[in-house]
Amino acid sequence: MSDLRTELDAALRTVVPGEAPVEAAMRRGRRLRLRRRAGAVAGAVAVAVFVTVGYPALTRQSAPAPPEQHQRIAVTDEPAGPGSPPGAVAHGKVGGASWEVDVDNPNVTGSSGQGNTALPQCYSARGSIRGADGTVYSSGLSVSGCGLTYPTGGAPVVFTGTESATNGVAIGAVAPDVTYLTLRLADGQELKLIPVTAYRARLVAYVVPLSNPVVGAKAVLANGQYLAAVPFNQPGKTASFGLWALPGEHVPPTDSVVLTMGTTPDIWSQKVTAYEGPWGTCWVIGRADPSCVPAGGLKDTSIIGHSGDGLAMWGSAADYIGRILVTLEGGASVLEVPRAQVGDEQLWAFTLAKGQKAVSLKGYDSFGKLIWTGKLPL
Amino acid sequence: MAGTADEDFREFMRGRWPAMVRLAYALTGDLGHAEDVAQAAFARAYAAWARVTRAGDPEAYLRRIVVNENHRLFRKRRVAEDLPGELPDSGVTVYMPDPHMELLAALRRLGPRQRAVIVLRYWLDMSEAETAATLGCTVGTVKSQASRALATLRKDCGLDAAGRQDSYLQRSDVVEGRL
Repeated sequence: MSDLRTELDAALRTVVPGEAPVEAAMRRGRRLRLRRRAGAVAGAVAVAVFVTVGYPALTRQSAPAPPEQHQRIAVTDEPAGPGSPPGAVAHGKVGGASWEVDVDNPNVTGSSGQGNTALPQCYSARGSIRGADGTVYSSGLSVSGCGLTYPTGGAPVVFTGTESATNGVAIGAVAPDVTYLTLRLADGQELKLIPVTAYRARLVAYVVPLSNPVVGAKAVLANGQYLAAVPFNQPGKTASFGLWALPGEHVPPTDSVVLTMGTTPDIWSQKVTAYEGPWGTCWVIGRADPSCVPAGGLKDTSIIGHSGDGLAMWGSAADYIGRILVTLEGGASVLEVPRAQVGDEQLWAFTLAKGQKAVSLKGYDSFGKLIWTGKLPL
Repeated sequence: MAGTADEDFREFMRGRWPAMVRLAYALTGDLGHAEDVAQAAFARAYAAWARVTRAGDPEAYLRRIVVNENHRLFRKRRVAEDLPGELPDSGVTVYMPDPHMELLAALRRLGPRQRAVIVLRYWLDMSEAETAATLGCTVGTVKSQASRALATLRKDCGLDAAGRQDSYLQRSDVVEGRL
């Protein structure tokens, strides 16, 4: 027999509200705020009038600055050509600065490669500026990263990215049937990425200003078809690709939900937002890079990903799941995992504080019956 | 900064809107009023958004505003409820399969105070003290209102009285304040 809470929960879930009137609530909130401040402002206005009339120069100085003019920064991308050093993938320019990206030899002892058949795991990107006298200076771009993976599940490319202070760097492992890729930047520039083979892996790389991110991509296949993607762009991060679709294929509508605000002491330690859209489904946990999957059909209950320390975990839930409960080590705390409808998916995520450990993750139907047990990372 | 705060609020409202409408619906028993209450509560939260986020648990804060807002609007509504006419259609869709309809209908038949006690105590898992503080009454009132409300629900819904009441009282003691 289920309890009252479960029954209320199930009954109230049948109430399907319309779309949130966000802008109307904000307008109403602003009016409230203005009314609250009205008394204080009334006094201040008298002073302000005097100051304005008495010191017109001051008012001129405080006039709003003209909108910042955005200077177009030309971006180029060329594949490493014959005669390039081993491991070179691509080079190009961002404005007046040159850049080049290469990968580490996976066969060298002590590198992070995994044997002589493995994909190179680590890469580095460097930038330089040539002065008028021919002297070459560092442009400030010097980043490296690891974690290259081969595409699976029909994806034409898997990008791994990192950022410098002003640029995003990404390197991608390309599927064998991809001839080339094109990237469209926010300001309309297009880059053509031609795969090169470095240490037996097909790779592409690009560097773009973080202020001018990649907003669209195409992967042209050997048979003439192409797959298109709209990446997920988190400000200050390189683009994250989840879903590659054939022309005309359905992509999810755009939606986003804050699953936790990350402000509850001791539990749900970081803000988690789930985004669904043409990029697929992405979870953004705190300041970490987004975790994106193709989605568009996450109808099962599953753990999609977790942080290396196991303190953050995210996934999807089937419609018939009433609640997901996580039990923490010691068994004292059983917490309901934050979950929400995001676009067409039911998504969940939780983030624990340091020192906490999840020991079980279970899903129950609306009658309280256990119907799913998540396999937690060790 | 204001842009970020606004964006945070937008995301928060989109994410918690269904839950708050459901809470308001549980309290009011009317979807039109529920949306009014929820929107008014979000507007109040936005008006004090910096303070709300600093407080640490915006959702709990918002729930409290919803409950208070419901009280405030209910006091106004008592006069207006006898007037003819319906609220304009809010475009909200309610799907009520039979088993759920019975419980929601029984909840609607409770008085507003009893309904609020049931919702706060047994749906939101608030303790008796928290429920009393939220509703501005004594713990004794919460106990008596809960007892009467449960008796009515048992009668109206044909609930398995003793066993079920015991089970949810025990349960809410165990998970009190955790979920």
